[in-house]
Amino acid sequence: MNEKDLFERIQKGDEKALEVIYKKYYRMMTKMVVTNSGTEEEARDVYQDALVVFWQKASSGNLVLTSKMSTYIYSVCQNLWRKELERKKRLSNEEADASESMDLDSGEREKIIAKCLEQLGETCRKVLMYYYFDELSMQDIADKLGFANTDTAKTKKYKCKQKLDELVKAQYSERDFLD
Amino acid sequence: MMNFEKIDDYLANRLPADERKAFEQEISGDPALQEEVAFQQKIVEGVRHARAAELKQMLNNVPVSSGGWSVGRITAGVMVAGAVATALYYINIKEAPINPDKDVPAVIVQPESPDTAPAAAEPEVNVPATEEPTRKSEPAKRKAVTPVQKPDIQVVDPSAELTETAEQTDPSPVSTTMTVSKMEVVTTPASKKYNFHYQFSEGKLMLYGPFDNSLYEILEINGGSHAVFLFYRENYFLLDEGQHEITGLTAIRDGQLLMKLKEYRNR
Repeated sequence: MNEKDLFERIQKGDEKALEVIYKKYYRMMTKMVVTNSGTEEEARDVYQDALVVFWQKASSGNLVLTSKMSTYIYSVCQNLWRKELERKKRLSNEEADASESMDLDSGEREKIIAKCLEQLGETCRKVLMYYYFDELSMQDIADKLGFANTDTAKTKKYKCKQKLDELVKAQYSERDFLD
Repeated sequence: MMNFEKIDDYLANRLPADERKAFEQEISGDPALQEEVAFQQKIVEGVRHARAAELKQMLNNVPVSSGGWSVGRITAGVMVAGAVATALYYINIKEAPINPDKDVPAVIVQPESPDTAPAAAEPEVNVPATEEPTRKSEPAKRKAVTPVQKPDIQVVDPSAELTETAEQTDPSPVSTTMTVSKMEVVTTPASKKYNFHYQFSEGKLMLYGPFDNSLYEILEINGGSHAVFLFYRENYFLLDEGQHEITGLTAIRDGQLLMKLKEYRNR
């Protein structure tokens, strides 16, 4: 499979193609982190994050490749690792990070939303993820999930979102931590 | 619910630029709308975060041994982290090379699939701006912090190991392909008796010592003869596959051999 095919599959939200890319460049990308004072675990983490960024950009149609995929992914890895190194340095410079309590809040919120998503069931979860994160077109969503047409996909998305809102609102009023 | 579709399109990045701008203006003048958008945005961000986590998990489950680094084997509850297996093919490490006109033994390293080699893909110094999902959780006050010196990232040319075949214009008498070491490695934390030792047992390489703390590599060299070396903390160690007793590891000091090993490892 050549670059172009792979990239087109990614743009359509084909996760198998992402796995192919992941394997293909694993060594190349992790090496950059490992040779820049990272552990292998950090290297894997950075590489995976970079691929998720790449995936989101490509599937949403916001990425026009002007270079090879590997070059692009490599530069994302570099950026992420540079940021991580900066973060580490900052943490060692200032003992207490004032942002920590804020992070906890958003982490908590994310957990709750993830839980609500689980409750929605597989189809709803997928529709919403494809719609908001992958930013796939309604046609691609319909294709991937086997809906009759884009109208079905739209309706489904609308209903699923309403349900999610309700679930989250119920959680929020219970927990009372919405800022 | 007010403007559900509009808010939704806005948050899902599906509004055309002009409508987007107009809507942003509308939001700024309407506190109730502002609140609703803020609430919806948190939900959408939650969905995005969940999806990113799901994708990462999916990648985590992909075995990567066929790509190069072979990582994470779980044996008897011991996580073997940082195991790196590299297989190299060569003719003979100590004897004179077959091609006398070359100062290195003829080697063909054929990584992954040749058509994928990013030909001289020089990573751009001007890297494209990326908006990684983690950005949002970064402290907002970040800008106020005195800028720390940018860590200097040493660039590894990603093409280096993939363009090897292309450079190898001279057809070698020995045509071999690179495969990944299938050797199974088990590490055991250092004990009093065995703190830096190894043995081969039932076809597995057992390492005793602080191997899960830092990276090590197994260099498996095939060709005219077969030899296995361990690379750990800038030192090389010969691993005798016939060694079934637990034996101490001693770093190789032979300068010539070290040079060759370095050469192979850097390929």
